[in-house]
Amino acid sequence: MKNRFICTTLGLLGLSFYGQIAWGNPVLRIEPAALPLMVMDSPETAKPVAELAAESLSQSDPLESLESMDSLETNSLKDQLAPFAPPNQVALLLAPASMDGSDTRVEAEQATDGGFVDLEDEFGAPQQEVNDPFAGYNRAMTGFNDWVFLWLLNPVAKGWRAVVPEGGRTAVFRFFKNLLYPLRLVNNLLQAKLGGAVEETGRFAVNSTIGILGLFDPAQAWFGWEAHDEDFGQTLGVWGVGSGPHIVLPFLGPSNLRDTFALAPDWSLDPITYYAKGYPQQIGIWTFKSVNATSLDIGGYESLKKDAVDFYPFLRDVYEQNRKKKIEE
Amino acid sequence: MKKTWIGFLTLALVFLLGTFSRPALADDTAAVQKLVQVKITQVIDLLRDKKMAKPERNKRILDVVVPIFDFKTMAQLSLGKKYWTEMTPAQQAEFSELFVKRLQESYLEKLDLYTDEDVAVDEAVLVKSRIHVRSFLVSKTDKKEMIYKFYQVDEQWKVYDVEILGVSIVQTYRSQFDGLLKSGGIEPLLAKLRVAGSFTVPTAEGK
Repeated sequence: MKNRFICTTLGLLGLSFYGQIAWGNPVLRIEPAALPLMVMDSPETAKPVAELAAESLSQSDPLESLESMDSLETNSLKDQLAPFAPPNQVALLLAPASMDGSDTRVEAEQATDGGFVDLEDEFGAPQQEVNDPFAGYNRAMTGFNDWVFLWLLNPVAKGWRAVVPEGGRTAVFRFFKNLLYPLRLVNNLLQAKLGGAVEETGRFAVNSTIGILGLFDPAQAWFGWEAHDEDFGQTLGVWGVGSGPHIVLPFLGPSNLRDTFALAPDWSLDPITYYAKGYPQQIGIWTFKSVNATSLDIGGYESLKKDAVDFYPFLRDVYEQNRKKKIEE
Repeated sequence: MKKTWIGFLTLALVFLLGTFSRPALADDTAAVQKLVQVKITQVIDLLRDKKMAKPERNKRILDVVVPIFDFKTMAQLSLGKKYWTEMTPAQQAEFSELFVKRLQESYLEKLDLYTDEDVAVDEAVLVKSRIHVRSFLVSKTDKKEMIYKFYQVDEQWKVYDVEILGVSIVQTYRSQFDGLLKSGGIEPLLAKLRVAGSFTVPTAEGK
């Protein structure tokens, strides 16, 4: 059973290796500007030390957990923070964000216990999240893809960016996106998302004509019609097919067994497959598409990579969580 | 008889508490949504002010954003309670410091990649005792969902996690830290965090 499974997987890997360079990798397309507003440091909003001390005494540790943290630790919140933050930052961390400005510290002290337990429950035990029997291979392939990106795709994309203004590249991006209308239509229908199918059809009609073959997006700009990205992997997910083990595909990046299977039908609904005369041309077009998309997000990949403490599990998690979300939507 | 009375009183109390607490939470939901809206507007305004020098701009943005985040909680949740309680206070302090610094550097870098995207605050939803504020980052080619998750602590609503396109920052760190701690331990993890974040990223200028 296991052997058959592994053979199938390897076969699929081979297939994917052959075909589909520029299958827009959803993960790597996260634009870094989307990352959240979060930070600390605020060098010049210092508070007087006395005020600070008063605050630190009156605040209880929000994460105090009855069985796990003794009161000594709890009371030394300020001491814990002190080594790494100048006093003004400690003040900021400890200062109430003052939504209503009222002073309610006495009640607050009683209201905070169990915070840790409560919030902790929202996050699963980390390793239960992802099924990863191919971790060794996946890690190696992530390294290979990283190399491909940094030494091939990224330099070419930078060159393309230097030659073509942003408007042109955005138009090219939209053109290719418009071409994938059949894929989105079929999958919206397969998931019984009629609204999505209708809006997609409207978008295709308007953007292919008034929007000059999809180079522009008047459907969004004038009518507010949104794209509804759906693919076969998501359809299978909606139908209840589990993701299966995580698999990093060469060139394409993170995927899983279900989404890898879904590549073949996805591919069959991409007009480029029929337009291209033979694989070299097809790979060429896909590569161009990928270069163009990358050129619109120079620096994004590096920034994403820097966010990782350990790159492979980071990418894996980002991919799996993102897919889960898309399927739930 | 007495028991019935106690039961009745308890019920009445529950109803009373219910009527008092529910509108309060509904008000909070609106207030938190407004808070996010105000903060985002302030940050975007600062980002679009091209005249301001970058260090000054970054400082002001941090002043806006920092107060609504509960970084300490984020650090603890990212590590997980099990590992957190295994650490010595010194290790906890160092971990928090390094973690918060990471978030800070990461965020400042994202700011450099900002071009002309718009942020639209969509809605705030009460999920159990949390408030999730949904917003969208709208660029020329797409629209990305971001959810700020707030919880109440000391009568304040603070962010304990952010979800971008369904990807939870805290959850992502949890998986990574868990892997590293299982294979190495706390000291190697701290060592890794100390050296991380030492390369710079090209900016999106002239994108």
